Order: sequence, then C-alpha cells, then structure tokens
Amino acid sequence: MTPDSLGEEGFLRQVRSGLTIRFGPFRICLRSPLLEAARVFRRLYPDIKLEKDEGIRDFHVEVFPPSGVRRWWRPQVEFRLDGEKPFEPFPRDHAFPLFEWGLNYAIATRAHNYCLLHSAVLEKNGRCLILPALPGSGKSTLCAALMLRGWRLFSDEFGILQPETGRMLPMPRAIPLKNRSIEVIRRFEPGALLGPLFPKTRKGDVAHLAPSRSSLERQGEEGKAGWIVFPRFVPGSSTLVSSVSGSEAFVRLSNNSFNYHLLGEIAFRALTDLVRESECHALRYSDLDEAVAMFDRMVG
Amino acid sequence: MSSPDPLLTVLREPGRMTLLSTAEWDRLLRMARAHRLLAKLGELARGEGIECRLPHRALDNIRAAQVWVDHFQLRIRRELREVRRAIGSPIPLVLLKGAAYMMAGLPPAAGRSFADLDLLVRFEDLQTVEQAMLETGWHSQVENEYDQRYYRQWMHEIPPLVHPLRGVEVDVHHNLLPSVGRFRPAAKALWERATPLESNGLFVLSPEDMVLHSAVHLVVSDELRGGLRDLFDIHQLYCHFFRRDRGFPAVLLERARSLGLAKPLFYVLQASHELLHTPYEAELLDYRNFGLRNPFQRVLMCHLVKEVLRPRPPEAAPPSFRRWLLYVRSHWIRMPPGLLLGHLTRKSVRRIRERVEEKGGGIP
Repeated sequence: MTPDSLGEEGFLRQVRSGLTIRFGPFRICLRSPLLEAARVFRRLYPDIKLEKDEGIRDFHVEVFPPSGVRRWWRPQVEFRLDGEKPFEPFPRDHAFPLFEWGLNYAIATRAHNYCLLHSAVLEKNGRCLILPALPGSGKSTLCAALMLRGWRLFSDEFGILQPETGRMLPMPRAIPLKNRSIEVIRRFEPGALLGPLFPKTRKGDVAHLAPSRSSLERQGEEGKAGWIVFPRFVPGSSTLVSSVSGSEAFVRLSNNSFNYHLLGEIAFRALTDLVRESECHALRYSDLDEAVAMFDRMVG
Repeated sequence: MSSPDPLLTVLREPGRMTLLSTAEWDRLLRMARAHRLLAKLGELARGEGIECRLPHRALDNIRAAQVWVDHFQLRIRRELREVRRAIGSPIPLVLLKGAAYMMAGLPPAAGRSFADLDLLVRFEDLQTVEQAMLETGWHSQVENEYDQRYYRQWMHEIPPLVHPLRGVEVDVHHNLLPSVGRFRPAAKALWERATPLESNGLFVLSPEDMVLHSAVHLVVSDELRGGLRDLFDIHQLYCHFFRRDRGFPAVLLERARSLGLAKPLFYVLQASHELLHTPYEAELLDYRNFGLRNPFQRVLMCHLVKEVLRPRPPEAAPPSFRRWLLYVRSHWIRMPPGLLLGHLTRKSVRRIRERVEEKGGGIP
C-alpha cells in the first residue's frame, strides 16, 4: 500500500486517523486533519510504503489546528510529539514544513542510540559520501543535485551512524530547498518533482524536492564509509578539491554532530573509525554541474 | 495481557515486560517517556535478566533514553565536584534526591534522570556557600526583585544558581520545606541523623528522612507533574530499606510523627500502595497511626493524590480540575492565606503579561 495506490480520498482519510510510515530506521505515526498538508505529503512521497498500523512507533506526530480562536482567526497549526508541544504554532499554510522540521527536531533530540551527524549523506557503489552542514556550504543544493544525477539519497540533514557496526543508515526524506536554491535546482533538472512553494517561513522561502524513488525503495540498505567532503559555495570560484587531514575532519565532524557531547566515548570511537575509513576532502565550487562531475570522478 | 495500563503493570512486576504485545509496547514507551521512566524500564529489565527478550525497537528507544540519563548523571557528578571545590571542605553538605541516590548507590538512581543538583546546608553556612559560589562563577537565575524576595523571605532555599559554562542548576536549601509553610520540620533534626558518605563532609539524609522528604516533596510541590517517577523512587527506597532492616517501618512512622509529617506521608504511602502495590507493613497503611482525624479530608486527599499521580494514557487530556485543586493546596500548605493571595495574583498578572508579549519559539 502506498499513498498513490490509496487514492487521494483514501489517503486523506488514513492521515486523519493515523498513518504509519517508515523513514529509515524509524517508524512514525502521523496524524493530521489538515487536507493541504496531507496532499503535499502525498505529492512528495507517492511511493512510500505504508506500514500496517500496528506495533511500536518511535514517534507519534500530530499536526493539528490549535484550540481557541487561532483555529479560525489567522489560523495556525501546532506540532505535537507524543502529546508534547515543543514549538510555538506556525501559520496554518506552513503545516507541511512544520511536520518535516518537527520530525527532524524529534530525531535530533531523541535518537541517541545513534551517533547523529548534521550532514547530507548520499551513496554510490555501497560507499557513502558525507557532506557536513556548515554555514555557506550549500549542502542541500549539492545533495539535491547529486540525487538528481543518480546518487542514492541517505538524508539531506542527518548522518545516522550506528556505533556498533560503523555503518551509515539511510533515511530518505523530502529535501527542503531554500530561497535561491529552489530556482537553481529547477534549472539544473527541469523534471525534478518539487512540492509547492512556502513563502516566508522561518527559514525563508522553502520548496521541497521529493526523494528519488530508488532511494525510498532501498531505504533499508545500509552503507559503508567512503568520503567526507566539506563543501563551500564560493561565487565565481572554479571547482577545487584539496585534502583534509583526518584529525581536522574529526574535529569538524564532531563539532557538527547533534549528540556527540551526549554519547561521549561511544561517539569518539565511532567517529574516529569513520574518519579512518574515509577519504577526507574540502571542496570549493560555484558550478553545480562541475561539482557533480567531480564527485562522479571521485567515485571512479 | 488485558491490563489497560501497561506502565503500572510493568512497574509492579517488571517480569511482565516479556508478555506485552507490540501494540502494548507502543503505549508503554509513550507513557514511560512522558513520566521520565523510559530509561528505568531498561534497568528494571536488566534486573530481571530479560533485557535480551525485549523487542528491538523498544530496546532502541530505551537505550537512547539511557544515553541521556548517563549524560545527566555525569553532569551532576561533575557539578558536585565543582561545588565542593568552590566552598572548601569544612562545610558539610547533605545531598538531596537524585544526587543522594546516585552518590549513595541507592536503587532509584539507576536509569533516573535529574537535571538539578539539590543540596542542603546548615542555615549558618548558607551565606558562606552562596558567596563562595557566586565568586567562583555561578550566577543567580532569578533577577526579578520580587522573586528574589520570595525565595529569601519565604522559601527554604536560595534562588537557583547556574554556572554559565556548565548549565546545571544548583538548588541550595537550608530546610526541606518553606519557612512560612504549615509543615516545618526542624532542619537541626535532619542533620542529627544524616548519614556520612565516604567522601569527607558529604552526607545523605537518614533512610527514614529520605523517604519522608521524597513523600513530602511530592505532596507539596506545585504540579505533581511527572510525580509517578518520584512515587517510584519512594517505592524503590522503601523496598530497599525494608530489606536491610525489618524495623524500618516503625522508625519511619515514629519519625514522621515527631517531625509533624505524618499526614503527607500517609497520602503518599496510600498512593504508592494502590498504584505500585508497594508491600508496606500493615502499620503503615492504617490511618489511625497517622493522626488523621478528619475522615472527609483523608478520603479526599488520598483520592486526589492517587488520581493525579496515576499515569494518563498518552491521548488523554490532563486532569486539570484535580490538578488545579492540588496546585492551590500546595501553596496553601506553603504559605499563610494573605501571603498566598498576593503571590498568586502577582504570578497571574505576570503570566498574562508574558502571554501578551509572547514571541515565536525557536525551530532547530
């Protein structure tokens, strides 16, 4: 069963009563009476497999109109995680971005059985490319471009490292493109499946790019470490790759982790191994096609 | 298993974790998380030797919660070390609640998260301790002058101190309950029975005072939010102390009477007996031993405390009216009526003002 096979009516009904989906290692129960948000979900994840509505869900997420006047007057929407409300309400129109951010928040604050890197991760030939999210890196744009050129999307936001096995776990989701990068990706791949534009969210204008079908289908397949690349978007620059020492990569990666400080020794060991098994580079780029070609050459 | 409440079921009998369906696990995990008992489930399962028989996904969630708990316990240990370094050794400290359970190696510590470090110092040392901490970099969390006065004149602790580099809240108390309240145990009596720990100058309350403190705290604190966790502390403490000393119930009862804390103790023992099936000796369940002369008050309070502590199913709304009654009551106990009216009015006015000024919250 998929959102597509249920038909729009059937799917909306299912979301209203509670939908169980799998995103990578997590099972999520999503409940919302908001038709618009459910429609966007269906457009971006038409082929995601819906699970039988039973068993343990790691996150119970509800996207609901608040009680009181803000249900009607300048309507708002609330994100509830297992009954708690971690944020202030959003304008009603932003229900879908709220769901995506809220779920990220839920994962980052809870899933401490994994070492969680703040990175985009993609895979080719069984090996993972880790693109740490540093300000000005343009990792979402790069990540979107690589996925559109056939790399398997693990995640645009989370590098999920399983400390016991040293493997990276996929969690393909819609990629939130912001401001100028929406147009960049439209031009890069006119056939890209994008959701509606959400103007003036807290992160600027946002439109989501759907995860590729094969990424979703293969979301149970883990990957080995491959490359850690620190990208930097520099307008007008040519594509330049330089190598980065393991110790520097380690420091930058650990500083950029969601829960390194909580995991302590476990994270230290897991990250040390990850860096040892990876080739570490820094990348300066301005042209997306050139950057993608560089990554493909890197894989060999 | 048909019990509608999987959380109470496994707290009473941890072995039954192996009998739950995955649908029951789904409810159990949500309820345990809401009551800050998720990591505790892991400890209970380990105690029964059944950890490896739990569903993988349940174990993943429990382990994730344990990471969090371990981190916070480590933070509290470090903070305690820093506090002792700051104030120097001649001043004795009694650790309270979580920190006490942890440093004394008592059962409630396992799998228990605690955000704050609670300390009891002698009243005559209070100023020295506060001064030493402020000079070593801790900051008072309370800037508002009214709140400062609220603490200093009426409360049993100074305003919370936090070191900006470490972020742990340290609550320095000079008594267990507010100095203007109805129950006023003599701090001196607590010091007389305090048990020294191995490290120099560090104490915990005597077993009976520890149980009393936990019980009174539960009844008197504002919200009873997450109170089930504290009730389970009492359950584990009692079972532990009773195993060590069969005379413990008599000592506890005698102490509660002499400190004037028999009533709140009774309410809490009743609640833990009914909700958690704590195996109390008969003398601890007989109201006549607790000087409760007003049957109406006894029945009402037992009912309220028990129902507010009873875990809610994740989809249910909070029992707001009962909670409100107890909220009012908790202040009633702590302050004389005139003071109380003034205090609650100020708090409401401030809450309304905050709501008006409210801005959007953050999103990661």
